[in-house]
Amino acid sequence: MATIDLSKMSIRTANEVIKGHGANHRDVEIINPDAKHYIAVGLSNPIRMRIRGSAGYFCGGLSDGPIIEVDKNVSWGVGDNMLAGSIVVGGNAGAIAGEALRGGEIVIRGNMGSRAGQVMKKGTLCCCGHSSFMAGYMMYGGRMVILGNSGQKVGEDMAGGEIFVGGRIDSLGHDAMVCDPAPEDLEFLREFLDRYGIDFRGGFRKVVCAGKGLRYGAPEPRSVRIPFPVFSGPDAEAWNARTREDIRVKSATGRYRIRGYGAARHMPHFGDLAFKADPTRIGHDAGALSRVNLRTFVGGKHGGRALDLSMPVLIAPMSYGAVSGRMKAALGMASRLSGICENTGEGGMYSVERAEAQQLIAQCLSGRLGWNIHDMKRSDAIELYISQGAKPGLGGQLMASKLTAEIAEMRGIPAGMDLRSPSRHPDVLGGDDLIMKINEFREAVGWRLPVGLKLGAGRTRDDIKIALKDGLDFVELDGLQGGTGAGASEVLEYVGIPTLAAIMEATDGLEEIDARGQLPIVLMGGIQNGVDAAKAIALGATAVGLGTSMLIAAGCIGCMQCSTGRCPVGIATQDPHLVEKFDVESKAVRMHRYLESIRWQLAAVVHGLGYSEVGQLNRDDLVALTPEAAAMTRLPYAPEVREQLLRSLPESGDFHRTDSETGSAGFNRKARTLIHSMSRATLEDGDLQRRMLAELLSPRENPFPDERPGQLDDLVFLSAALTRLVIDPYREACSTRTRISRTEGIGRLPDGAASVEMEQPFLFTGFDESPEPVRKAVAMALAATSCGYVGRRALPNAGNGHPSEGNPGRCSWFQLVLPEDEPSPEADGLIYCFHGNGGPRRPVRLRSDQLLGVAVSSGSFPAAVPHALAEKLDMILLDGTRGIHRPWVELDAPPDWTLIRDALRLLRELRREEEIPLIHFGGMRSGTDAAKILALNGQACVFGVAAGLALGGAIKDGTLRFDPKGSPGEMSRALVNWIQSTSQETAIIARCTGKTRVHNLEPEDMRSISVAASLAFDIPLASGQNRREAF
Amino acid sequence: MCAIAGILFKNGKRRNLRMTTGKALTEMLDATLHRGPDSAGWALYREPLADEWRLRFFVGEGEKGGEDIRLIQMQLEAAGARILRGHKEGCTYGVVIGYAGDLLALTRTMERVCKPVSMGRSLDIIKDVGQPRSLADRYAITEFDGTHGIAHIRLATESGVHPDTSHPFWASGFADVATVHNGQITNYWIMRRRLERQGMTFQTENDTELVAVYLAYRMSEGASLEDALESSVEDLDGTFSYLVATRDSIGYAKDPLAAKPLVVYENDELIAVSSEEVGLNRLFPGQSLETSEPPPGTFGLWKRND
Repeated sequence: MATIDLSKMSIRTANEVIKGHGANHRDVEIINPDAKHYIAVGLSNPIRMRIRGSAGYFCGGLSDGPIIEVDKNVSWGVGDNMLAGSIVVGGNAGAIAGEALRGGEIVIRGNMGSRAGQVMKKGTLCCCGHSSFMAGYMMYGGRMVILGNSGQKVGEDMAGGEIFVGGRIDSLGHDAMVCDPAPEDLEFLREFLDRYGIDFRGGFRKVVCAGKGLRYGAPEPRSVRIPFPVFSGPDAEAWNARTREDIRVKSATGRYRIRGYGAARHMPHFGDLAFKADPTRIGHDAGALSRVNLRTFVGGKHGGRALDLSMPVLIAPMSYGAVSGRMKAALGMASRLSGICENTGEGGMYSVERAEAQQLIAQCLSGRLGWNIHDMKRSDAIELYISQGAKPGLGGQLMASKLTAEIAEMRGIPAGMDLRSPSRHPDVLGGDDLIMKINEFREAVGWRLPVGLKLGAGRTRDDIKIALKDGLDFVELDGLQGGTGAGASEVLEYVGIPTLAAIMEATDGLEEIDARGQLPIVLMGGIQNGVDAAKAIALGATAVGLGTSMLIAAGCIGCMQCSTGRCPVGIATQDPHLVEKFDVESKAVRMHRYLESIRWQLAAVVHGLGYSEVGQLNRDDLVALTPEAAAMTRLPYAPEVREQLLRSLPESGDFHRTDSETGSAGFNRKARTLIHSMSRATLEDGDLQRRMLAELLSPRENPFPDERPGQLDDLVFLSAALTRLVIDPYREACSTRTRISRTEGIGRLPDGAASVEMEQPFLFTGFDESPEPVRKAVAMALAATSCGYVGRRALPNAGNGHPSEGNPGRCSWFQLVLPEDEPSPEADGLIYCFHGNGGPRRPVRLRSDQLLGVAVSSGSFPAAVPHALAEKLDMILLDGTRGIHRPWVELDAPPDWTLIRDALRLLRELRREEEIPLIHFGGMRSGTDAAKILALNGQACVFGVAAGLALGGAIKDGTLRFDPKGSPGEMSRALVNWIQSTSQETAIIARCTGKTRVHNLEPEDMRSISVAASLAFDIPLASGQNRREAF
Repeated sequence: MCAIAGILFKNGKRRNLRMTTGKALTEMLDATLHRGPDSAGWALYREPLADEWRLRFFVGEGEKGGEDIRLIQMQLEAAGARILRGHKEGCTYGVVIGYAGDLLALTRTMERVCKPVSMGRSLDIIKDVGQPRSLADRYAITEFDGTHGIAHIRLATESGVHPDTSHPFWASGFADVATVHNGQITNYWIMRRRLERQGMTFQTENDTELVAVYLAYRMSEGASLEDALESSVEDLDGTFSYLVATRDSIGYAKDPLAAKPLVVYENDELIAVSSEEVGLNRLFPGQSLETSEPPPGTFGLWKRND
């Protein structure tokens, strides 16, 4: 037996020595381990080890076959991702013992910490003492044996596997249930315990998945593709077809919506920048390719072998699962033919792809699906996924229709579930853990490979510093326009910052700590061609990544149905009949040609600017053509360049088609036509290449013209990633509980103050004059969901008890009191309206526990707020319309957003912020809109037209009309569904920003993507903000 | 994004540990250095002064430092304090004063001209940019051998790398209360504005300062430290494991998600706390320790018996 003294040898050396002994079948003894980390990581030979003392993090992690005995304790993550073997711990284990276990046996003779066996898939984890909370969190398979007490929430969100508890079950987790062990279970337990010499005579209970949370309910109705100008751009209307469809779908399903593709709205993007150089000089030299050097290395900083790219382009991570095996094979081929790098995406390494791709990044995601030491070793780089631009805060999603038996087997999970991967890693909960995970990876592969991060853009300025300090070799940074196979549609549109802002934040962040250029950034998210790539590199990116555009090059038609598994062209599907349509070789050639066109474009730009190396591109080569792009990038604003470009670049007309617009502003008709054209062009066809290049160099129209007012849609949220911990939107609680009352101190209810509590931050209005069945439906729905009603008349109210058709139950009623109205003692709150000619009337309450408030518009607002404070009123209703008492007034005009901004400004000035709750009315359509109001310091928002639409109302002649034959029961169910999904949306947004309560949303969680919105809401433009403080 | 450490000798006896209190804290930090290499700091509880106050302020380098010190001395004297002894150490000026007035009032007065690091009968906070072992030499930390202390190393995330954004943070205005924290408070701005409206002041945008100011505010409202720890678990959002030290105790609170580690070792004589067991093993090399980890969403207080 060999002895290694860790007081004398570094762990890095020790692991190499251990691997050497393993290869020679020699046993090893470790002395003086003193709880050091990464002991015996990455072992793939059977080896017998004895650790005389305590081990630190990840003892025996990322291994296959070791037999390890630890005399005392282990810290976090013992046996992480082990495929086979055995680890026996004499003392206690820290958190996440046996995380992502894929086989073998782990025995803890003492107690074990929280979240043991998180995302484990196979093998056995046995704890002889007690377990801390959430044992078996999100486990997919395997067995856990706890001889002592289970701890709280045992089996939380488990999808498979079994947990046997010998002691007390302290509490069951979500979607877990208890049953009796079968005789064969008992036989297994007896044999297992005997084998490890564990004397236990008690009985067992068995915890398994109850199966209620594995699948979404009824599928979403198939939606039609709505051309993007309907909902984005200067001519979009507030209550457009897309908004209406969204409400209709949610009132049918009762849950947040899911779709694939990416953000569909307009964003400031690379088309809003231009090169300063004379455009006619770019691309005139057919030999540009041979005169410039595009070769790029990514990721050699910390001793690993860098990726060697023939040009600064990589393929974005896309999983086998999200796309078909044939598509993965074609991507591998295309990447090889063009000398660039492919990425596995989630779910493990597909052998065919490994064989085809010359360079392949292995991506490790939170669920550790398909992750293992052998694939790590046969990869060319390792990438730890933190988040992605399309859905920062959400883990991967794969609907059951795409989770075939083969893919489930590869991922190590049960087939047939709607897979929602965890939002965050078991063992990466911040920058401090991240470095330990990275070091574990490095130890596992002998520090041979580059290790990078995939990061969705949000708090990038801070996140990028952590990435640098934690010793990453590269970062794949993904803007809001990034695509995905499936994600919550509101997150796709409204969480994250645009790609243009992302690269600015990243370079700013590095500059703040004097580290510009020290961390290669691969920028992705809506990059489509060599001109975009050149602009990204000029702004500071080392390379770019291509995802959606690769799909388009391979024939994607942009139907945006990726999540359903019914991709008609065989790309984003696993249906054999659909996959059959996809011819691997011809599509690989298409993608290769597309990549070669990009190469030609890049070379033409580099050469045209007078450079010989792609890395010479820099900010001084660029100007901004729109105020947004100028403010985001801090490039000179040069509208005159737009005119020059339009004059000097001939419009070819080749790429202007007249069929209907696509559903995505980023990948519009013209963009798609150009990508198709690039994927068919050869380099020999110089004339076509030049015409395409001229088209790419010419500016797009400004999607945010001066006359377009700031809109709520122009606000986006900053997601949590490294600097903050995301709260898992699929699983973890986020309270929507709402109290309408005055507050004092640090948010406490003043003694004796009136207050109304609701489960949601939602109020409803507009049904005073509606047909009785509709009013009844609203009353039932609001009572069932604990929301409030704002109106001059109370809803029908049949007393207490469970809401039903005969007994609608009771919801809180906030009476709107107009000058001619009498206040009612029945109302929970009185809101006096300052509208109309009646003039201000002194608000009085009829009961001491009745809330007292005023409705104010921008006219009455400056006087009303100080008055409301002086009178100690309980609420202010900010009415952004012509009068909340007018039926469906939201249809008349866009709401006045200045009210909520000015209210916040004024209250802050008076140092009375939060003392009186603000409630916004006007233009509210979704849970995301509500989240924005909460972040702007609103306490609740009032829905009008949106609720009417959810009940089946139709907009006609400027008002809402209801089906006279509608049944109250059905309408109520529809409204309940819509309220539930809307509440989910609000909470999802809050969780993505790292909150466990929706009321903890802050203005600082948002950014604007238009200059007009930044002024209208006092929310800084993404990446345009000044530095917070000197670093 | 950090590591925290704490040690408390329960009854004045110390036969097992063959290092000074300052050395013990420094070694725990050094063992967990990978968690936060940007800056380091210690809250040391020195021999309590009966009628005098121990104050420390940030001052500039070189000549600026001399000017800052003169300004601090003038302001102290103007506030009615008697300067007994003081000297410059690194980027700080430590001074002992006689002062009969209200410490909170003195704090507010001093904040107008300088950045106080700590004030108390016993507390002395030392913090600076750099790594624990070299800073320990610079500030003679290892000579400190008092009854208890807490310490911190930081990986800067949302606020800058300066001495004043280093931890520990003093609960400004409240004698002898200091905190160190690992994690992020995600309702920082809401809570900060609430506390500011109550007249509390902030020197940095660091969320640990928020924890310190929060505890100070709650205690100023008459809450006990235990009450303040308990309500913090409810009022603060995000992830945290934090330690708070007073003249005779160390308390902790942990968020309900248990995302941030905190490992505790206790024997007859001492309680030691570290972010990782590897830190505790530095105190007792070659030994196997009985350790435990407090459950999520909990708080607690360890008091000295003597």
